[in-house]
Amino acid sequence: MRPASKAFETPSPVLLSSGCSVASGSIATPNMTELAYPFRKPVLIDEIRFDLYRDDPGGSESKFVNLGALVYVKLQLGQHYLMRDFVPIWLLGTLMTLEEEQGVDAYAATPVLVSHYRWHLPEPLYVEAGQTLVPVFSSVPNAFASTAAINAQVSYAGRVVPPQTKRPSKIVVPYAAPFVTTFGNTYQQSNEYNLFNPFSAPIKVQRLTGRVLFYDDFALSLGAAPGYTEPPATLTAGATLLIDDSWGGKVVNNYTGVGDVFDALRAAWTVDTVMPAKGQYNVRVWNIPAHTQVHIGMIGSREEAL
Amino acid sequence: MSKIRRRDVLTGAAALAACGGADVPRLIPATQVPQIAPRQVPRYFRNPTYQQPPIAPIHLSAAVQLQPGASSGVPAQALMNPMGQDMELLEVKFEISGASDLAVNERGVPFGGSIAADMTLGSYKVTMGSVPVWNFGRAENLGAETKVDSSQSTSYNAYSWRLPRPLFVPAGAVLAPTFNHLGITSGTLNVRVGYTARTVVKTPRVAYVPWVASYNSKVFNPITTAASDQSQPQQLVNDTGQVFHLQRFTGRTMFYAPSGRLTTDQPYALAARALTMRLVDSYGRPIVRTYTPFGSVFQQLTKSWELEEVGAELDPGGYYRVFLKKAAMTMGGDYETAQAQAFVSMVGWREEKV
Repeated sequence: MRPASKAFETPSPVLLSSGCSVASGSIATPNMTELAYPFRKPVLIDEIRFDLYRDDPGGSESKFVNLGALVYVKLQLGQHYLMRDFVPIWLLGTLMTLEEEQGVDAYAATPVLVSHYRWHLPEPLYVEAGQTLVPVFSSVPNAFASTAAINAQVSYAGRVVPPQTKRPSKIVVPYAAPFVTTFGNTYQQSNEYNLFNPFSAPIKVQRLTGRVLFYDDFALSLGAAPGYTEPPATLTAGATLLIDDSWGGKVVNNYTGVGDVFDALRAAWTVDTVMPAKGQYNVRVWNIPAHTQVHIGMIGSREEAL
Repeated sequence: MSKIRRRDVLTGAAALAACGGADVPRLIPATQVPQIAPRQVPRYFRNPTYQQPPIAPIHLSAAVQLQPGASSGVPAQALMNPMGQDMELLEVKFEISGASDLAVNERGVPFGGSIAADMTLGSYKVTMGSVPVWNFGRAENLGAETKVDSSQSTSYNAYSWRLPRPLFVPAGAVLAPTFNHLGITSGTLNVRVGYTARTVVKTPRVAYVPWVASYNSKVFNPITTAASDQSQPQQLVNDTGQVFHLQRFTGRTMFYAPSGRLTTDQPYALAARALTMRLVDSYGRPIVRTYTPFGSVFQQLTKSWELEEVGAELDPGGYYRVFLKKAAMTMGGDYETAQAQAFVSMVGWREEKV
């Protein structure tokens, strides 16, 4: 076995994790101390995981609920923004296992709704020694009958940068931007604040993600029996969309169902393209069914000076 | 076939010459026949792959039936390359099913925690003792891992382990598994192991031999009581004598329901909330510093933490330690007497001289 002093120079995995409770319609931040690497060494983050759970009052609410549609997140690393606005958590990564995204645990005295998500970053994110990637969670007002908050756990899976590694002069910073339609609108189009590049440098767009949120039995009055489900195919076929870029280029030229553009297996479309500085995608969505929201995300990265 | 003989041709030619026709052709001695140069091989065919004997895919499998608590190998001949050639193993697959109808609480149970495999390749150990078969690979498709048959009387399980590097298996050698029925289910189980491989023609200087070590926690009994447990240094250990390259950690949980209730691996609240863990290496480096939900460390979409790109190593004799804490869970129905268990493994490879 090599001496400990040498062993500390070998790459080592690390997982930093913290959680907080996010009440409906409010904002919360987890414990920053737990998300900072304690030994003042730079860290590379490869993957960000989100685990959401909520005590469910049972009965009619014990349905499959994708909590990532209700909890939004905004991440910031010092002066580097990973998001300009809050982004629904389920838009960040691709869909991998639907059962784990909307799990119901019926064994506890109070049923628990559990949702797991992961965002494998387009490029590893370099976090300087002593710095912390700060998450802020926001929960949209939801129509659960009870007022129990949603618990959000965020985990950074990565590695400690070996000590002999030179500090980079530039880092790759991920970027995510959302477009979420408003309930009740049958037509809506995105604007220059949604799927756009606010920076003075091009963005490498890795993928577009798309989901449809359906409030089952939605009612404004408390005590109703709302459930939140991933939509069946009829819903994805219901809303159609067109996408073009800010130079008039056609991205989706014909009215196409959300489930066709973002296939139901991955809920994502890997585009691997470049968006110029200040560019944007314009999305127009038609025929949005009642009680339904269309969520579209743009995931990419850009280089910034450290 | 023409019956015209050469002599006839020459006679005819001589007659033709006599009347002022063509010259008589001269016979060329065989030694003076010009040699035709071999045809040039086009550049695009000069890839060495085309000039080797064919590389063929090959699939091998063997099965065994195990009663609770029993241990048995499989017929080694069935897992040997029948062509007598060297081969490279790419993937190991496990299929487990009930041999007969199971008790109510064992139907639809994921058997990956019930059957453990101890694997060796000649004098090389591949596993540190017995490792539950669901702890080798990452979960590729959780929905397809466990299927219940139409009569709802048993379940069929499939687990896949894509090796970190192709494993060189010389002709006549075999990666020999010994399976153990850990007795978690009371039924007799059918176990089938399959190898996806390809024949190779060159013997490498170095073989990349996998290494898997696991830690099965104690059974938290009952689940309603707070408890803790930790792995020992001799469990998640590099016992190979070589530098171990870490590819992944895997983590699973099992929920043992009382009789008449379904046992499952999906008590979401257990992994997401009640069960938390820390992880350190033998140098005391914190891999997971604070007690973190089990389901956040081993992300529940694949039940694993993929670390190939990290390049982490463990020296010979090095180890990881897991510290588990399980909070008291308030259970509904008849689940107060339920039990729970956690399974953690480290998967990777080391280099061995061939």
